[in-house]
Amino acid sequence: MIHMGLWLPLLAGLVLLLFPSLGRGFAVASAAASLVIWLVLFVGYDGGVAYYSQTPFLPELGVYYSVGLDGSGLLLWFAVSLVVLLGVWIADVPVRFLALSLIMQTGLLGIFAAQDLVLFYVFFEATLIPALLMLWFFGGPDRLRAIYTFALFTLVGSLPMLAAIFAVRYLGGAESFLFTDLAANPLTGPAATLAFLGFLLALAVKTPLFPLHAWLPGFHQQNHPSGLADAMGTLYKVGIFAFFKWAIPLMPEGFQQWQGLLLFLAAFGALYAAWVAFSAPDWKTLLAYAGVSHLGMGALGLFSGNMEGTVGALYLLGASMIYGSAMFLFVGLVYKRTGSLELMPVRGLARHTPALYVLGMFLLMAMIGLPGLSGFPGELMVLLGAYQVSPWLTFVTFVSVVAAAAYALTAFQKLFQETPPRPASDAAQASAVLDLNWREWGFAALTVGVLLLMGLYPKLFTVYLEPLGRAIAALFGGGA
Amino acid sequence: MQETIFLPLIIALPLLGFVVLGLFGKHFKEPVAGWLASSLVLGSFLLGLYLLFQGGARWTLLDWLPGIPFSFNLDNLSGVMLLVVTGVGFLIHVWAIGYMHGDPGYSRFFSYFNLFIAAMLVLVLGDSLPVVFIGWEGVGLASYLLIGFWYNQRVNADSARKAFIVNRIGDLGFLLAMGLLWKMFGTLSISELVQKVEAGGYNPAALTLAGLLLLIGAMGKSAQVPLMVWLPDAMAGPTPVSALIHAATMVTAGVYLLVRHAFMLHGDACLSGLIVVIGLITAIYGALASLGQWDIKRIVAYTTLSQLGFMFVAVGVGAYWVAIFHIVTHAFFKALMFMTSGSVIHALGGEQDVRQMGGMRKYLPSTHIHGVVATLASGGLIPLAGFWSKDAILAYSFAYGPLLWALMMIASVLAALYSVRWYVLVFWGDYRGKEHPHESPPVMLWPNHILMVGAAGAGFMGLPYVIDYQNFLNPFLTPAIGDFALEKLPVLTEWILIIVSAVVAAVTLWWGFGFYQQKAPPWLERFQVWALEGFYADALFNTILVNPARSLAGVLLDADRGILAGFTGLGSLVGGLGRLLASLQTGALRLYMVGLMIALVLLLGWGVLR
Amino acid sequence: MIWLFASALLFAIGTYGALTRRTAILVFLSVELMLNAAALALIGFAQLMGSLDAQVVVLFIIAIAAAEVAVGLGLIVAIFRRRETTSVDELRQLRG
Repeated sequence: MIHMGLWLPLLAGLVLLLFPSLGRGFAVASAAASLVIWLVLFVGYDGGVAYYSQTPFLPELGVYYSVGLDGSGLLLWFAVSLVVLLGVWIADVPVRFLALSLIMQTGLLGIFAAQDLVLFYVFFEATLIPALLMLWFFGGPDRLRAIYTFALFTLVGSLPMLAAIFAVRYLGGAESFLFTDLAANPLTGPAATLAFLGFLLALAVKTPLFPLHAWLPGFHQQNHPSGLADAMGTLYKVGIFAFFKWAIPLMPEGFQQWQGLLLFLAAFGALYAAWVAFSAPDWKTLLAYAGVSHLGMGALGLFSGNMEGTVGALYLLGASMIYGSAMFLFVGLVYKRTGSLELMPVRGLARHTPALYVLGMFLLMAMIGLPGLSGFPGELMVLLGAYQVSPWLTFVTFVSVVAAAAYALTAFQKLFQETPPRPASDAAQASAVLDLNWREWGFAALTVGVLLLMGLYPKLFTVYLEPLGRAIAALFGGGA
Repeated sequence: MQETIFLPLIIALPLLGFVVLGLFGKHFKEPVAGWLASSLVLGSFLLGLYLLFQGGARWTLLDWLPGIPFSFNLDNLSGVMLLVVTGVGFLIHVWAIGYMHGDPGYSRFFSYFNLFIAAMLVLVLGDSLPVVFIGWEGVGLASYLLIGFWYNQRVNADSARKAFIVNRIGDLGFLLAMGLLWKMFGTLSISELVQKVEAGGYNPAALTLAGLLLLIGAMGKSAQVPLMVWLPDAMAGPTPVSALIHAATMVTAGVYLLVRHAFMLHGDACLSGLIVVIGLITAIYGALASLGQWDIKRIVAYTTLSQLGFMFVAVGVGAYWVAIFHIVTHAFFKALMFMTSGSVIHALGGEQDVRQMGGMRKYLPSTHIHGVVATLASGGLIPLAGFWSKDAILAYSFAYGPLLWALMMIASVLAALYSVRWYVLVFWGDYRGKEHPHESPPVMLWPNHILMVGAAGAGFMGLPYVIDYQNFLNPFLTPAIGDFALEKLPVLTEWILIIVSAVVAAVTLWWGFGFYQQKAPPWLERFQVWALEGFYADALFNTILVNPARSLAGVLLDADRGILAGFTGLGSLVGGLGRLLASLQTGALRLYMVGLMIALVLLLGWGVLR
Repeated sequence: MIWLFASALLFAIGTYGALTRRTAILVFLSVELMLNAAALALIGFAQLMGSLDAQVVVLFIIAIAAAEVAVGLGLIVAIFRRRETTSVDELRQLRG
């Protein structure tokens, strides 16, 4: 089942590339099937690393095709499957674009399921290809520069990680690249410090952690206005997961050497990005910085190295993947109606499109961590974890909660509530702005339902995340 | 204490109203939506009353988050709050049926209104701090939505946003308090915290810090100086919103939170002193600012600030039950005052400037009677509700320190003045406007009748001990708040205080009644210019906080582009190095050859000589 | 031992030629001299150690050198046809 879930989207994507006439329905069917497979896996989950399988791939080198799902994998598979479904369902894009999204889905699922470090690295890098292709084929006029920046940041970041991967195995003395082997032989001493730095460079780009977030605004600004590529890019922010799954358990000593700096960068980045978002000139820039801010907060929780922080970081990661992506898709809907992504007053959109307004309100409130919606449980756990390690950095980070309210509500007000100072000359066009059609209603219902579910009943996932958090805490002598 | 599913049902009822009216609001004809919303709130009220008679209730969902339960607790303290919220809430709902008549967003309004009630109940009943926080932010959201209800005007939307952001500053304190308490005690359940604090074995300074952080949260929600700037602007919402949220219930949530955590505050002289100072400043600030307003709703808004200051003083001096007592009486007379104002606004077709009012006693006889009772209760005339709760606060202030008592007397003199000023400007003199006034429909009058009875009689549940040795409220609340014995004043002192307070209030009301019918002397006009602007608190905050923060955001955006440029610069550094090395590549073959030979000789020499 | 001195002499001559001649052909010739000096040195050392292994390697060198000469001369001829000169001082297009 897990193999089917993993490879089905790739297969469907390739078929769709070959036969574009199959159209959107095929993509939606594939994405829905993925979600159903996830549901089956979720219902049958019984703790630990479930659905584990391992097949020798390059046995001489100790490389295995080995996959399995733990609590975090389960949560993030859900986020990926859901967002892909929402994306292919709603985005008005060419069929090839949808196919690329499906292909990218396999890469993302693989990142979260891989139980072998080399396999993880392969998925981690391979996912870059469809992301770059989307930007290349469907990006904006200035995309070349964005591609250049994006590719350079990710590729240059990844090479030190590749070196560190070999260091971890051969200096640590493990039999193979399997997670279980590597975790049983953690790297120690100065080698761990250096190897962790290697991981850090690659993962900070993908977290994204200040100051290696610099590629992100350009990436989002140049992507297709439908928001599909941005949504996929949001899913690709897997840095926190990779820190949690690989970097910290394999090099706990190395992590401790860097912990102080990492905590500081996470806290500073969270506040800094929220602040910058306040003066963002357009929606995509705003959302890019908002994402940096949230994941900075998540990173703060993870780097606290205790149970609460880890659970919070993972939950926040999953939740922010969903609301962040949905927010990009929502902005795509706005673009379809107004033809602009700029944060300028647009003729009081709320009057014409009340349903869109409500959807936007839900997403926005989830984004700024309103309790009862999906952003809050993660933020709270991060707070409880981080406060134990550093009250001051926690304070700095959570000032961004105030800043988030400021930037989000200001932007929202401009979009929906204010009318431009001069009445628009195209008054006829203004009255023609349509509210949601049935397809968009489906999108809205599913999104809002998940936001509420994750906000009101986090237990659904946190019961599976808690043992993982305790395992991390145990690495550092925290509660058993 | 029984575990019962009925407890969450109390919250589910108004929540249901929110969902139904939100999704299918278009399909409800006008009064139906209002009556549906009102009856759901009444249902909550009755259910809550029933459970309270059963002796309270609990409901728990374990491990909602790791180690954190999702729990509700109905004890006497939350029970009183619940009855105030749903009881007064129900009356205001009914009143709004008439007030919102003809508004295009009729169903939407009641949907939000029910959302507010549900969130407020979560806040009140929550036993686990994160649950309280859900309600805490939920009422903030409802307040945001309702202040900006007529969002087509930019000023309303701006006010709504301001309220939300300022509240978030307080919320930051609440969040950090949760972090600290979790670190200290490993639990966020209030009933467990009570036990752990009693058990001791912690750093008292840390507990003070936790109390301080909670206090910041309470200050945001209850609009205490310096976080008070949002409340006057919040009057941009429809009048029922101002009555329900920004006078009777939500703004008292901060006081409730502090009383709920009395076990952390009491006996901490430093923290109590701070609360007293904040409350006192707010009480006087609000009263003075109210005296300069011309917008009828802003007048009442500033009086609310002032009364909230009184409640804070009550908490600070350790008279927790008195704070709750004042919440109850205040809910009655301030809701009445707001709804009377609303009836006048309604009668005048939306006019809010008191300079365009006057003489309403002739046009609106029933509303006039409401106005009289509201004024006297708010001004503290014996034996109306406002007198008894304010007198209790004054008495405990005297026990805390005679100086505090003196200052609080000044505040209550001002309170009597602003009440009577409001009354005279609206109801006396000659009518100065143009619109033809008409009395409100019964659906708006009856709620006011009931509130009027409350504003007159609610005080008798908390009489001072010299009159009623065991009054109703104090022993009723003690098991929930905790038994913190307060020194009782000698009988004679208590009597003197009561008489002084009663006489001063009566004299002030009488003097003010005459004074505000005359033309204002010039010094007063100069003062009013200052007071109208709230003593320029907004301008001050804009100058020292908001504008710098905004400019910094712009600077940071440029700086962020600079970071990317920095990385690009790193790239060109490598490129530059490459160009430098490339210039060694002259193309002259024999030059290479010489280099080759020199290198060979050097290498050989190094090999031989080593 | 004498072979080593001979090799050194040959190498020095080759170096001198490579540095002073301007014609590509002569530079090439000098480089060949240096190559053969290296081969001679190899045999000389082998002689000292009493081993025959180096002979085999040198046979390889000779064979490959032959091939290399063919390619090298071919290139020079091609360049001459195009540029009408083989002076290495004039052929400086490959500068950075």
